[in-house]
Amino acid sequence: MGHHHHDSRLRLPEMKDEDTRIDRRDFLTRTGMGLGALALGQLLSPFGAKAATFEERFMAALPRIAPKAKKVVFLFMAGGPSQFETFDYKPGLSKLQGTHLPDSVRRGQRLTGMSGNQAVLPVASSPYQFAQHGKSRTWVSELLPYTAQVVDELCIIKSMHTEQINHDPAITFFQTGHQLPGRPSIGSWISYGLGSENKNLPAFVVLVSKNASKDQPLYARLWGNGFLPSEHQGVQFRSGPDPVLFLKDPEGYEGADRQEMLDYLKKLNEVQNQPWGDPEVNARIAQYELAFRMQTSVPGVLDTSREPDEVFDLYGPDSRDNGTYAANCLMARKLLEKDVRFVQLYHQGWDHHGSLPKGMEYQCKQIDRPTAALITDLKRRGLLDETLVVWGGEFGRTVYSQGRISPDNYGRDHHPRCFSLWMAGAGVKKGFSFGETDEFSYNIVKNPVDVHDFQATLLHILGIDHEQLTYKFQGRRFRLTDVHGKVVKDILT
Amino acid sequence: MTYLSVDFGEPPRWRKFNAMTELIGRLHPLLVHLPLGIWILLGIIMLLPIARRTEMETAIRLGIVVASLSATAAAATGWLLSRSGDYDPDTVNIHQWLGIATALAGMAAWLLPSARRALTLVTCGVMTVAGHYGGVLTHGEGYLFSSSSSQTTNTLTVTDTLNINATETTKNSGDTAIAKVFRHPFREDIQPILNSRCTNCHSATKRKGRLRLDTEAFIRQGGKNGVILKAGNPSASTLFTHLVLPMDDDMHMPPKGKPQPSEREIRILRDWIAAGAPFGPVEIKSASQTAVHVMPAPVEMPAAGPSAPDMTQESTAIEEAENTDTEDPELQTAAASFNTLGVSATVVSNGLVLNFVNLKEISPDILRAMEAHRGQINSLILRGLPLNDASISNLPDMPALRNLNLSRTNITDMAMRSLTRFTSLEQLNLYETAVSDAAIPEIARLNKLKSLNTWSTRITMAGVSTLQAQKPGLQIETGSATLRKPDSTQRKKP
Repeated sequence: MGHHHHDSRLRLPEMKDEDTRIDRRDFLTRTGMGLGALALGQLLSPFGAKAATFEERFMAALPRIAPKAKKVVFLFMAGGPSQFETFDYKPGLSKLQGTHLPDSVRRGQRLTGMSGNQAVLPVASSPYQFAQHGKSRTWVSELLPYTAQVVDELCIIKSMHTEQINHDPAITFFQTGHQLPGRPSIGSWISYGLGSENKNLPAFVVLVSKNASKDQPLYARLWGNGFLPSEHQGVQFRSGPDPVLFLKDPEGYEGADRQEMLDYLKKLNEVQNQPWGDPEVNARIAQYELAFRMQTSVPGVLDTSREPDEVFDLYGPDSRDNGTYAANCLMARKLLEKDVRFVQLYHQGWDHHGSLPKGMEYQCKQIDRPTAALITDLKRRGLLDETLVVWGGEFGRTVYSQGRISPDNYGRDHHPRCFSLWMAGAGVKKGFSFGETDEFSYNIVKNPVDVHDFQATLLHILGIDHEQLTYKFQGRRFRLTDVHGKVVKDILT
Repeated sequence: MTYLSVDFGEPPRWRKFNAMTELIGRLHPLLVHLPLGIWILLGIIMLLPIARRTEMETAIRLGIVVASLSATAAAATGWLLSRSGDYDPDTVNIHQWLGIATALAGMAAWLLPSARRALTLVTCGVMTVAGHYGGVLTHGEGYLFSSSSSQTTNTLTVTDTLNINATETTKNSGDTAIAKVFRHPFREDIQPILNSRCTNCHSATKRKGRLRLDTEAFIRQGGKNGVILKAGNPSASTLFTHLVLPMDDDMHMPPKGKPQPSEREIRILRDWIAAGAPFGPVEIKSASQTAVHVMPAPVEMPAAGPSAPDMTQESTAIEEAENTDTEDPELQTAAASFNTLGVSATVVSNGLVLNFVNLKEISPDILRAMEAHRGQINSLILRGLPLNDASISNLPDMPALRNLNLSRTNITDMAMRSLTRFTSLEQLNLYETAVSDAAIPEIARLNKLKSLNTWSTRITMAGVSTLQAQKPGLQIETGSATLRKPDSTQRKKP
């Protein structure tokens, strides 16, 4: 070795914590490891190599007061399900069917380009019957007959509202607290704040239904870690033979010396880390190790073959078909049973600008029984006591029909001013409804809950003060709730 | 930066002279001031009309000779000193060539009397710049304009801020919310100490003992004598122990005569190491549980005498000091010890939640830890572990245990007999176990039981009714609720 190398190292700019934080793209560019590294980068670690000393000791020792929930399953209905055909019962609308939406209700709101130039905005009432269910006598649409059976477990918020009127900004806003891409997803924040209980599985797992119309796309950045260390990003488990990409040993390789290989790789990474001091190197070491452990743990978790028929009967026939919403709900239960901190399901196809009845019937049929089954299954296993279940989309839909209206066909445009969402399980009141909309379900008249309030409440239930969970990046401290958010105390147990 | 490169490589035959050359090299700071003073005096004589030059001629000549020779000697010793490798090669290079230039310019002034005046001024100019870089090497960059008092204030302010933070958090958290504060103890507390006491000699410009204390990577790397930081163990970290050695010990740091860290600063450093030496952000919940905090107990100064202190005694003293100070020290320590054993332990307001999700068994070590902390265990989640009845009866008495999850274990009715020892038990999950109706009398004896999960056990509905009759307040989850197929004929097609 010559002095040359030595000198060049010393002439590097001094390593400050922020300077050494390079992002994934930088990392891949520098290492030139390409796609394989990218895939392994998806495999996240509960504990970085460096973090193992203090994260385990500090994070695990907190928080001080028992959180109400230890884990979350978020059933995200991408596209914006209509509140009119599900939970927000507006019996008065049938009398107003086809009449123009009063300006006193619209109050000059700017509409989307899709319905903004309609000459009339005809009120469309729900053709579906509502009935009161459970001890709580909660109104539920006939499109959700199974959900109606577990309604006494639900805490329905009918007064959600958002700032965004189009899908991608609204979903991004819901998931990250900001409408522009680049901030960490809720699951990443929770992984960062609470760490992982199960060291053999990622803290944040994502499942996307295959049996849904993909008219509005989802992007991996919705479960991205943003500026948080990369071990906190969501890991997508896919349906089919290869649930986690590149996790299986390649053909012709038995994996006998895998541990040895990883040990050498770790040494190499540590050599690299000495002069660079880059936290992402530690994250990468941890990710390789987690990926190795996942080679054993993932097939076990994903294997539903040993589930009794009774379970498949509960979740419905779709649950035998991997990758469907029903199968993903069953998978979510198995992951939660293994103490995965945050499971995020996505079910697309709720964007019913036209042919809403047909669309809603189809969508509700897909999600209704598995969702109710998940609640039932979690409950009987004692998991609902420690799990928060969330069901909802990024916004609601308009009371007026987009396009032509007929008794059995109409459409609804995006509506950010109010929509319905429910939570169930640990920390929230059972058989409870919160918030009220006006008779057109257009404006909120009581107890509005905005997206940041929802996020603050979710963190609170997990034992996290949303104002204290911060991460310093580019000179300021960021939080999931930005500078907003109030915990909705009224819905808490 | 480009500079003339000199190979500092070391031929083997040089090694035996190392001790001597090192000694000679160390004369550099002494020698270097001789030409410095003389050249400045010569400059004054030549520039200022303070005396007629003819009267000074002899003195000027003598001065030039002595200054040139001593400058050459200073350059030579300087080169030997630079070979120690304790200094930043970039700065050394600049200083070295400027020093050589000073010596050469002086020689020229001696050998060319006609240009003597101009050359003297050139020498003074070059020498001033060379001297500046010498200063950078000795005192560190920015020494000239840094104020030592501001550094001290900075350290104090930082710790004050910490306390304020924690108080605010407590206030905000109210009755239910959980205080969560993220601090950066290394950046906020440790670096100011290192920068005020250590980096003058241990940084990019000067690397005494091949040790740099200015970045995380270098602190982890250590120096000539190896690693200086063992996270979690101050007694094994020379970063701490060298500070508390007796002042006249050769290894004492900072060296005698240099500004010494205060006892408080040493304490902060020690606590930071004891807390695992976190370089990143650390989540804290109150001032007393921060990784770095002011503790009333004085630092245990090792007794003077043998230079190696009794490490075991010292570390015990430190642990005791920590235990007496931390708000909930026992729980924190207990959680940490369970975590090291692979149990996922969480501290809650009334004890510990132990989750065995990452384990396949309850090892003897864990059993011992449970025995030691039996009064603090609040929840025990043994879901899915291959435990039998004996494993349950082997568990220590846990008087504070409220929640016991035995689901999917291999226990039978026998195990229920050992549960009455858990006098606070409120919640019991037995799902997917072989527990049957025969265990009902034992379960009924659990006085405080509020919730029971019997789904997928051998407890029949009759057994549940019997139990319910005995314990009307008990919530029993039998898992019997199933979803009914909705009557599709009722729904009107729109």
